[in-house]
Amino acid sequence: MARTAQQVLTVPSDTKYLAKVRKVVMEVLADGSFPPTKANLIALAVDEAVANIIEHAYGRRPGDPAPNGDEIVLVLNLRPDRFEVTIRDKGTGFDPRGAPGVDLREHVQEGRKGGLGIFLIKRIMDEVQYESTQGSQNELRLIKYVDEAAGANKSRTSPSNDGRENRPAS
Amino acid sequence: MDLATKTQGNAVIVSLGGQIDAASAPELNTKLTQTVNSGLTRLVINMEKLEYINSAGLRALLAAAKLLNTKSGKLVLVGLQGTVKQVFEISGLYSVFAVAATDAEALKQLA
Repeated sequence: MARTAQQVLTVPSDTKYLAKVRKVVMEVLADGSFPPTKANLIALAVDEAVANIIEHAYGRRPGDPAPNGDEIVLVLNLRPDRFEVTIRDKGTGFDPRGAPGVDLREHVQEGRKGGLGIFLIKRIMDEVQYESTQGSQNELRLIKYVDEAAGANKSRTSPSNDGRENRPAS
Repeated sequence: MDLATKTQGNAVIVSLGGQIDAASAPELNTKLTQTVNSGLTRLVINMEKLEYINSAGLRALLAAAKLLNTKSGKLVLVGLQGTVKQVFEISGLYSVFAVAATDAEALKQLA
């Protein structure tokens, strides 16, 4: 039976901490609520979300040092029916729910770069929620249900676009 | 990320291991671009020992495939398994790349 677990992780806005993020997600999921392959994919979705914040919200390139204060806070919760992660940053707001879909033909033939990470997040997680307080804090919440049927139902009913500003994403 | 290259005839086998994420993908991108630009346009990418790849790694492979297209070259992926294979499947890229079970089979495809 699933237990309840919570971990709070704060990392600087630097891609070198992505391995740590994935490790902590796997620790929270270690009780076996999700099969190992699904747990790995959930860690991937969280990795993609954090990488997006580093690159787009904070505008960091790999190898750039993170200025003081550019931090990302993750609150990871495992509940009997779901895994939920809330990711907070103070960078430029970006609502991934409104990101355009991915055209693989464009990626291969024309070298289009954006959107693949968010596409993977949406494919893996059941719910993607986003809230931004202008000039102070962005909050992204990703949810994966233990029961696949519950997840499929939520996926169908979750809004995908509230019309907020979009900008390119990876 | 671990990366090793081995030339075999007029092809090159790039063996990847460890984890490829946004921190390590630029190194993969640079290595593949250098390899193709050096004139080696038949690439086998062996992923048997690769534990993890995210969208940044996928983009590095797509960039190499696109560059190879301009040089009439080709890229074949070998040893996709576990989570790495799943990432290719859910991204839809499994059907985009040429895939082989072994290096030998991949080299035949490139011949």
